Amino acid sequence: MKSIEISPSQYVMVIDADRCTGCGACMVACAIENNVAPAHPDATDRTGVTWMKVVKVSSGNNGDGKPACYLPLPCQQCAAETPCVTVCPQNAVEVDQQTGIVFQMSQRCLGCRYCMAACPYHARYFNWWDPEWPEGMEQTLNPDVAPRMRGVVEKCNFCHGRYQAARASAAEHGQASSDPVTYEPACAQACPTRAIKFGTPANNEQGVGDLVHSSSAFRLLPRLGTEPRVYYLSKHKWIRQMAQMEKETSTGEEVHG
Amino acid sequence: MDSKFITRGLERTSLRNFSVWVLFWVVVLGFGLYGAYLCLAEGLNQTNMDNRFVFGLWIFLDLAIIAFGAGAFFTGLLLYILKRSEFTAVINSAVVIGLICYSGAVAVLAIDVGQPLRAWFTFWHPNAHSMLTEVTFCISCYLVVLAVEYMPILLKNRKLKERPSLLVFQHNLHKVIPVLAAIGVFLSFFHQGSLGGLYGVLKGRPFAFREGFGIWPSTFFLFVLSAAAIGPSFPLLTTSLVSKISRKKLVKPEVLQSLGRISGWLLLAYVLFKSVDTLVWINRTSPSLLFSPYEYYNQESFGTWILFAEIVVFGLVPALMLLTRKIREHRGWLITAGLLACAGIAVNRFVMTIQTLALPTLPFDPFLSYIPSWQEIATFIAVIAYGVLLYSFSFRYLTLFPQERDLNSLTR
Amino acid sequence: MNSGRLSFLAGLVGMLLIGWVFFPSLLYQKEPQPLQFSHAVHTGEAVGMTCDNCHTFTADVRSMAIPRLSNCKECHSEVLGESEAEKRLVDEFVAHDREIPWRTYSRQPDNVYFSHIQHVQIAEIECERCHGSHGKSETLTDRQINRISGYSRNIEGQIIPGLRFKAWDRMKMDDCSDCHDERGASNSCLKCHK
Repeated sequence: MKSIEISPSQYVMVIDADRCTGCGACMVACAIENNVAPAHPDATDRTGVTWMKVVKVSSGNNGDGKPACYLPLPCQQCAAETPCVTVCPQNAVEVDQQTGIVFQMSQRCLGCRYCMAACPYHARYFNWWDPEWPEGMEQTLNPDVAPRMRGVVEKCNFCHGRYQAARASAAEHGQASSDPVTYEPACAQACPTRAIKFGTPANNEQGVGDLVHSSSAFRLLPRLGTEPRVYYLSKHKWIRQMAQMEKETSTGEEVHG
Repeated sequence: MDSKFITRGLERTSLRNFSVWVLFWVVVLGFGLYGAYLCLAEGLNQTNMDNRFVFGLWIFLDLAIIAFGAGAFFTGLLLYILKRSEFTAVINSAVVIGLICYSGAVAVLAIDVGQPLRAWFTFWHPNAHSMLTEVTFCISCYLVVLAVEYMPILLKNRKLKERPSLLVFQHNLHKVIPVLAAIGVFLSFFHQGSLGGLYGVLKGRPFAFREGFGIWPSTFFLFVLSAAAIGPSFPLLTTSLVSKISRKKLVKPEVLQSLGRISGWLLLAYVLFKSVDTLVWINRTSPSLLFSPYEYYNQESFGTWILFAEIVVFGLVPALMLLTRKIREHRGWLITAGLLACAGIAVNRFVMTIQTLALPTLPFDPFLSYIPSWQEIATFIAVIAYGVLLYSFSFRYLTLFPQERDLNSLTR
Repeated sequence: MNSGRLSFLAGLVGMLLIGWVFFPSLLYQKEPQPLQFSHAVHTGEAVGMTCDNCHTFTADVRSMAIPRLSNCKECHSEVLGESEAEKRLVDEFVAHDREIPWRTYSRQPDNVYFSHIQHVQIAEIECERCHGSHGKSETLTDRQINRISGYSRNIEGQIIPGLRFKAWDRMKMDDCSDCHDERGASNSCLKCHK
């Protein structure tokens, strides 16, 4: 499946699974950028908030030289039939037509979690606890990102605070608000192996325009028809087949995060 | 002591016995409310739900009791619209049960959402594409309808009837009850369906996703049909239970058998459609999304036995039992069949909610399990206690079964 | 008119008075400005300043800054006129090089991303469109803070029934989106929310 229905002026993220070492720098950078509060002492890997989550996938026996890979999983920013948008009873989720970013309005969110049930990528997170920052640490909050309260859903939005900042400085140089701007999300910036590329295919920033068409590019669960804006790259056939569910069985099931 | 409140001609247990019974359930209610309070005050971290298991016990039981509550609308349909007057015998009880089920479900839903104070957002900024919007609107409206339907039953209390103004009000209300019943049927068809649609539309959950007609997935129609099928069965069970506890004859056995027979036919139709739906899903819908249906039943405890149980043991078997005159006429077997039918619908709701969430979608995701926390269970126990209390008071002081007086004076 | 109707009307009027007069004074906390300032004197004929003489873009170009003491000092290093406020400015702030703790009327809630440069420079919207005649005001009114939300009353508007007669009567989301609609700007949530 290589159908690309994404408008070339909308942002895409391309993650090179072969380069990812699973270090988790993207997860840390993401949490700091987006004002994710330190996890509650009782939180588990299933109740924490990780807009970006790195999972390890083992190959089983057919690894062709790569026994395991790491897949960083941000919100896949589905371009078509975006599952979370249609289910939300109060229009708290929206796809921005200009950027293609799927935006969660946590201020509008009721916390019914129907969108989380709808998301095939499990990229949405619920605030099970009140967000609390240790004293003094609230000074590090990013003023461009609104913190969320207990009982609402949140998720990755391609560092939309950075997008807004880029928008403002583009305006300073006289750029109209309909023109795309160049910026880099925190995860891409923090990645030590430069495994995460980001930009619009039209402007081909960081080469994303070419990468999404490369033979090693794939997306997760393409048959669901969600047309994610997050692409992955791998030269290893088993990784591509596993992610696209092209094989009868998938073997790796060890997850960490 | 409270005899002047009890309907003339009915025999009720002593006030002392009743007080002990009430006290017990009040204590249970108090415990349950404490659990519910913790979930509201401390947040949903008190539950064992998580980011993958976003719905748990509450949603499953909500779906189940809303299906059970369908007895109210279905008996109304039979009595007021299809003019089957023999069901006057159970309509009052069915309305009370419906009111309990719906108000209990709404109360639990209010605790289940992360920000209950924002509940009005759905009415203020509704998303017309969401099944949940439809469910919210419909259930709210239907709850009001049920509350209004309860009014004349309440106002027929011996003491309240003494006030002429209330009597006139009750009389006028009674005239509009058929209209309310029709509205109730309309609303019920939609929200029972939308509750099924909730899961059927989730393309991201190939286990639950179903094709359908227009905007409605097949689960929409299956939920309507299954709710209608146990609509008569659940009043059958509750009536028998109340009869057992109060040691009174409440309705003529023919009425219960008649309920059972209708339930049987509808259940048979449901089982038929459910089987066709399952075959389409296994052979077409799921494979087209590259999900092998056999994988779903390959996971830990959820084997194909659950499918067999849902469709055959708790579907076909009770349907055939209810359609066999000999079995139906035997009180014990009739109740058993009703119980099996209700259990089948509960299994269906369990499969659609809990099993859907337990199964992985991403190829590297594990199968998940979930055990409800005591706070979740307590919250639900509160609903049961509330239901028992409301029903007990209604049974003692109102006339839930019009045939009761005649039936019991005959035997004496 | 019988007494029943009369008491009904009296009750209605009473409740409206409570709701529209008494309750707002309870809801909003008044915070006086640290110093009186007349925009009219500065923008009037005699001085002839414009808004952007003092309200310049902040470093991140998103907001128009509240003037700092250095703006004032350009002219008021010593007392020029006879007003009491100017004397206080020089004595209390300029002499000690102390910044004036102005209270901002129109700060948007934390979840709103508003960029002045996009509105003022790219879309060329006049200051008056949102701020009304503030630039010609004689005095600085007290800032009113909603005790519950912590937002300035300028956001919610002075008119209690929630009506808007002029573009600057309120600064609520609908007022933003109306203008976006008029000008064909996007009304996507992400455009303004963070």
